[in-house]
Amino acid sequence: MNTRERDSIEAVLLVGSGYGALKVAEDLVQSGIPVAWVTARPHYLELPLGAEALADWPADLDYQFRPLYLRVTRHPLLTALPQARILSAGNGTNGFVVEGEQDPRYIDYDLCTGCGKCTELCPLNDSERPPITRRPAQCPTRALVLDKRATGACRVACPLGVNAQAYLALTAAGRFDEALAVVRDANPLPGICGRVCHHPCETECRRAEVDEAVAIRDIKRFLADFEAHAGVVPSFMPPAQRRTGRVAVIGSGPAGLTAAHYLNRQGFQVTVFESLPQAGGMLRAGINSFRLPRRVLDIEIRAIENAGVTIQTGTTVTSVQALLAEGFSAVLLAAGTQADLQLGIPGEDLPGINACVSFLRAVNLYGTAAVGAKTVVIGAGNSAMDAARTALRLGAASVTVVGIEQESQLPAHPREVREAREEGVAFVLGAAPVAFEGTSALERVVCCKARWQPHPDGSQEIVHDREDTFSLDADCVIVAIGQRAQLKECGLDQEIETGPGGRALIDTCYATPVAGVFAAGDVASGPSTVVEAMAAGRAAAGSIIEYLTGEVCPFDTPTRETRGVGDYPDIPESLLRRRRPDAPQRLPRVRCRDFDEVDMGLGADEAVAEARRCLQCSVCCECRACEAACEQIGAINHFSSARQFTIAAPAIIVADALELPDAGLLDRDQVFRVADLKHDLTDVMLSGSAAAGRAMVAAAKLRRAAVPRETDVEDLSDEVRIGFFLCTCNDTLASRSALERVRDLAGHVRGVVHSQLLMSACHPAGADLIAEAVGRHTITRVVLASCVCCPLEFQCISCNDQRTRARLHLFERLGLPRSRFETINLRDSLLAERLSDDEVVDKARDLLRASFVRARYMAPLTQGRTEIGKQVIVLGGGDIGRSCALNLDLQGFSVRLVHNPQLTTDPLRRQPHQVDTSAGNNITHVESAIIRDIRGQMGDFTIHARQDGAARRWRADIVCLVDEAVLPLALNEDAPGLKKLYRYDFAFFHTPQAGMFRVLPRTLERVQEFEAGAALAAQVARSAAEAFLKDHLLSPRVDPERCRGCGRCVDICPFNAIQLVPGLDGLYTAEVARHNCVGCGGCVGRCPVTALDMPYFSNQLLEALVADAMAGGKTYNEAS
Amino acid sequence: MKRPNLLGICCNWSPWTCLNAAGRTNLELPPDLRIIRVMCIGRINQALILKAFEYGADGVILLECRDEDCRYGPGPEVGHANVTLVRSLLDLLGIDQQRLVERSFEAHEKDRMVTELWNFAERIEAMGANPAKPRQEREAV
Amino acid sequence: MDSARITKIIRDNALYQCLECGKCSAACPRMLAGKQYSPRLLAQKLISERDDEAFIESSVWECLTCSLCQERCPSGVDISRVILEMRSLLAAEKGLKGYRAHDGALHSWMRMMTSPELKQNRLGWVSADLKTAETGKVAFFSGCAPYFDVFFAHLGVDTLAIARDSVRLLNFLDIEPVLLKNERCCGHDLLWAGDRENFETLCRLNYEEFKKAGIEEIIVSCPECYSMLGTHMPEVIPECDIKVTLLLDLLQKEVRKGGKAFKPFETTVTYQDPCRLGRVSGCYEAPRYLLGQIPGLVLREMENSGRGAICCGNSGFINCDAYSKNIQVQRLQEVSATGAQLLVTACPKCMIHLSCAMRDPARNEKVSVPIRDLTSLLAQGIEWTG
Repeated sequence: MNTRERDSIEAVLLVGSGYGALKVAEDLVQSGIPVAWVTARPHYLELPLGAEALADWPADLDYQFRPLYLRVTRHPLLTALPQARILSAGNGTNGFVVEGEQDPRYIDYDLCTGCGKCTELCPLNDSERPPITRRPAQCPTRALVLDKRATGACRVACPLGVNAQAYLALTAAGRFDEALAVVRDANPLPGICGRVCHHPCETECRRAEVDEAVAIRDIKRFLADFEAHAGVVPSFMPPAQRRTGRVAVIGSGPAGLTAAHYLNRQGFQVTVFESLPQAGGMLRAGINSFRLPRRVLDIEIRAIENAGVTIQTGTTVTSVQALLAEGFSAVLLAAGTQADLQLGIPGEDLPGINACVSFLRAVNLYGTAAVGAKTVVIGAGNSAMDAARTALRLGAASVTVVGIEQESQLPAHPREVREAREEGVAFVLGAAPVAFEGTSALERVVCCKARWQPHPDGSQEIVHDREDTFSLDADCVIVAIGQRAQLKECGLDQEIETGPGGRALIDTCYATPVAGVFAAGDVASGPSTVVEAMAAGRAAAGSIIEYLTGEVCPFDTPTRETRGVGDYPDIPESLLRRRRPDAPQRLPRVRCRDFDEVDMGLGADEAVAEARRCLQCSVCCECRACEAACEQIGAINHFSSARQFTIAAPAIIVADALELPDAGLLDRDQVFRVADLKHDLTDVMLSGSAAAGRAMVAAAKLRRAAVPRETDVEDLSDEVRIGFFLCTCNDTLASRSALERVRDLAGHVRGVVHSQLLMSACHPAGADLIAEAVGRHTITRVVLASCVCCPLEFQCISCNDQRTRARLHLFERLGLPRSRFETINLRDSLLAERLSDDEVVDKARDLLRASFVRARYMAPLTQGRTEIGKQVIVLGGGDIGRSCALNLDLQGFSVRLVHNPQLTTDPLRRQPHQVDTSAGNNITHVESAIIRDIRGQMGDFTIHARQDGAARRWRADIVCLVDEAVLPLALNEDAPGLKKLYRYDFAFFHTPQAGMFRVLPRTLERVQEFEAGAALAAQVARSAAEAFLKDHLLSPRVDPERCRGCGRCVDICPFNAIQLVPGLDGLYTAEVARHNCVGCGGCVGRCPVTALDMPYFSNQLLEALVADAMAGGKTYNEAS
Repeated sequence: MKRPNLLGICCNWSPWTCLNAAGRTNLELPPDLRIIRVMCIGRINQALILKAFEYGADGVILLECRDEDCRYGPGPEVGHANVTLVRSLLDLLGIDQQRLVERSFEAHEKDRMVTELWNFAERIEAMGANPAKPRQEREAV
Repeated sequence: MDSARITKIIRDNALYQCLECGKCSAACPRMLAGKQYSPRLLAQKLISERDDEAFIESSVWECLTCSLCQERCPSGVDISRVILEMRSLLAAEKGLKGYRAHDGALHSWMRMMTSPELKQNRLGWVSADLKTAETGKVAFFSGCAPYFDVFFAHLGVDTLAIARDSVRLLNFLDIEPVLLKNERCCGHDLLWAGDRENFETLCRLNYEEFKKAGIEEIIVSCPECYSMLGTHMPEVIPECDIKVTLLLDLLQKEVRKGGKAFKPFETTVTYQDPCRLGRVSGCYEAPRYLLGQIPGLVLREMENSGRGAICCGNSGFINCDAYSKNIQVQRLQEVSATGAQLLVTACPKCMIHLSCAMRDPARNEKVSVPIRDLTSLLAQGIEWTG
């Protein structure tokens, strides 16, 4: 497994997912402290299972959590590490040093737009276990997750690493072309291997545990045949660019062809030298046409040639040095084993005795061989079977195979043996020839009983039982006991060192001792199978590329562990048993008369049905159709690797103890625990805040104060030049033709100077396109039709990650002016699958109308800021007040703690002090003060009090109302809607007034007072983290010439965001405290003289929208 | 016959979420309905509702949060008050009060919203045209 | 802007006679309330600097139309008429730009009334004690009272009381008026908002309604309706032969005939002259005569009263703003200076606007005074003598 560099993070470590964790993360990042959030769950927003069982679970709670999610998840201080685990936690100079690992992430959450195109193209999307899924509904990102398990056993078993699972999945989906492309990617000879491969994949197939292995080879053959029947000539893309370096390949058998193909594909100029008159090596010379029709062989070799490989037949290479001298940069020797082994018994030179390879070569290449009426084949391997069946076809009356092995150990594939028997081949087993006898020609073969005797060194030897001798009448013998390389015959042994069996000696990189000369296939390994030879050829090609370029071998033969996370899923018990189909064969008595193909292959329906039997062990089959779907977005990478990380954490917060490597960690200092979600969500959230508050003390040094950007007031009086951008959501929104019509329609609306389609608005490249067009066409108003529904800097319950991201790209990264953007959510309305083009255009036209109206009524959205300090006043002692004060003190705040003896609710009276605040450096204790008045706003509160009969006045940036008795001084508890406001955001401490906090009585019933104090401190630190208080972009503006000072706006605002101040001529006028404002516009609706108006939903705009909506298409009729 | 003109005024919070979800899940909305969004139903005043009728709406529906769900506190109550007042005015004008309705939703109630919108559309269609003719039609006469 | 039409407007209304003396500007309540506002400058621009469209537009729309300037003008320029016609012109050319109080809600329902098919339910206020006739030659025009009663309920303004008391007074005089179910708004606010077209439609619809019912005389209590039906309707409908009678005029005439008196009412009142009653219709004497008939009632005139009375701050629900409020507060301070226990006015708009101004959280106590319509005050105490 290759891994990236270890990431080093300095942050508070948060372990586990869930609502409590979310609250922790929110409090910390919003207070300016970086958080590394590690959870084993696949998505950091996935919540603990079973949470729905909570008694007070409001049906729309998921929605209510959205703003919180979105605030946290795209926060720059959050390092999200989902699907990750802590491996160890040791001590460091400043707290803990935590080592961990994150599983590979196959879909990049920063790029994925959630368009879902990948799922549409995934062949397994409709299966019971789709590999690409969206996270649960409560998750406000639409991002997708790819489930990729350990590599399938079939693929691992294949020497070439052909992705059988993928082509089975595609075949099952009827996508034969793509399936064949998957095969060809790793195996350029699918039609050949579909016939003659010994299919180790099937041997490993897990389906055999249930019934029978999937007929993978037959499906491969079907795919190649399907293409051929369709009249398609197979072809490979020629290499994109040629590289310097010519490579010579000696031998055009499976190893040579494969090596040549892959070298060519990598851009090298390859010449293959073949001594025989036709290319194919053993494929042609050794394998008969009734097993491998010449047509198949020819077209697959031709495909390799057509892609640029030169095959020079009839050329025997006698010197590799000569080739190197000729200008080849490297030579691959893949000459195979063309020489037959001999028995070395008497009579072996009698006429009528043939060697197997030369016999088959004569038949297959020259059509010159002849056999006798009584033919005996010596040996029981696959070549022997070929020889025996060929002899039958050449007219032998009887063919007998003599083999040493017993039936169960025959080296030939059982299928070959069976087919030979069916055709009439007789077998004499457990015997070996000892002599050939005959006068002028062969007459009989003398045999005796024999067996293999293994030696301790691993070799084996034949033991003959001379007592039990018999003879077989024969006029023809074919000796098929094995082959060897024939380097000697062509003189290459002079240059290339050879070993046992005349094989070329190579190292693990297929290199011979001669520089630039490599060897692969049977010539180096001794006789093997087609697919093994091909694999060796490809691997050698990889070595040659490394040798020539220094690049890493580009060919992929994964092991089980190379990719994926986790093991195969269990085989479902509900799986129905089903046998594999028998591929049809011609009748033995018919087929043995000719050289036509024996096997007829599967039909399309059979192939699909058979492919469906595949268990899809890796879940994701890695066909990579999704990558093609995501080409423009680039979010999918099947080859991601695990990420190692180290976190220097001053504190650890544990939201889920089961995710810890060691439960003992919980007992250590600076490790805080968030309550489990058992009873009440509020408990968990409160507990999260308390943990965050306590961690802040340890992590105070990591805090980074954020300075909000202050925006200039945009002058929107310039010419209205509208640019229209339509996000096609990676071509998933609707048909291209429909969207082009919408684009053209918009292009004709009054004021529109530019109209274009975008691949994606939430993707960085999409945002770049907008910025570029805005500059090029001097666009002054942008109408962006996507899924984004407002250009504002806030998140609501219908917002999601993509919308947030689009805004971050446009307004934060690229700095485009919000005021000039109208964003309209078309996606949610146009997604319907069955909409015709006309319906799409009509619907879009209808939805876009309002946007073009708005583009003409834009008002500046401005952002101001007010500086605030760190002076906090805590009104009310007791352990909550003390704990809060102490915590804030340790975080660097300056605190005035006012103990009020007149209070009956002061917890101080109920229990002894547990919190010792004497340690605080910056706490000013005020004893026995009676608070008289609290007024002002965040950053500028004034508290009037009396102490010992004297009037006192204190200034504070932030006020904490810890005891009930002072509440009425600061808050009108009966203000409209106030009680409701406590329902959401889990704002146990928030009041409608920014910078003023209170402790709800119910808090005390839930957590210890010490914890409540810490949680309160966390909220204070959060609100003070940005040294500046930001305005709300939607805040209304007051026209002081219009305002009558009637105070209706003041009456309706529960946020203290509006007040009457002296204005014109002794009258009063409304003034908006823009940072208290939440932008609801209630005051605007109440103003009898429209003296208040909002920049985004102005009165004028709303009226224009109503007028336009009721006027039926005025916007488009006005088109110029 | 002329299709009815229906206006929906939708709060940005729960009801807008319902609408988004309805769109995502291919739920069909009444074709004659136009929807405009506001931050809170408390944002709109009586004038806007009256103008909708003046501009030719045959029915207006306010889509709002439940009283206890308002993010800002008083929104739905303001909505109720506005509806009561405008309905009284409509009644004086001889315009059926049922042409103005308000419905509240939680964020997950997309199906109920779609049902309510269809009910609304069907009821208004059954009522026929609003007797107060929009200006362009009056001009045509 | 259509220069030829402007030329016609200023010629028709004697604007060329402007001496640029500035008395208009010096008298303008808006100017006095702090607004940079000058009728004189508007006249000058209209005559010779028509390219300053922004100034002309804002001046035309921001005028209170209280006619005090006209009262002061030594040359007899009909400034209000210039404003009225300029508004029609501007509205036709550039849309209704005048910024409307209540975001135009009132204008909206008024415009809806121009639909011929409308079947209003406007007579719900007619209580059992009122005697009305199904048919007859005399009708009482209740105007917008039922609508205002709904819209301004939160101000505690009971405009329907005026309508009921008007019918009571008529009943007292043995008149059982016809109440028309489908009478429309008189169109005052639309006309003054520049919407002449819809105003004319309302006139025609009302006229048709009157004719269909066989009405020959319309009695009105509202000064705006009086001005519209009496003066402006005949301009739209030249053949109009409907007699329009102001209830106060009728009462004054009847009381003068003798046989009627008022119950004693020990109180000190002051009287707000509505601009549409006083300066527009010239009715200053009747209200004072009638108030003088109430035994025990002392009328104390405000510093500015009669022809010089200050407006209630707004007209036609156009341009209500901080300056309006300032004017209203000044006016209420004048009320307070008289020591009056009750403020009497004769126009529902005065009552609405002044009541609204009293709702001032910052100075509630100082400006608040009971307010009553003259009609109601009279209806409460009238009786036969002998």
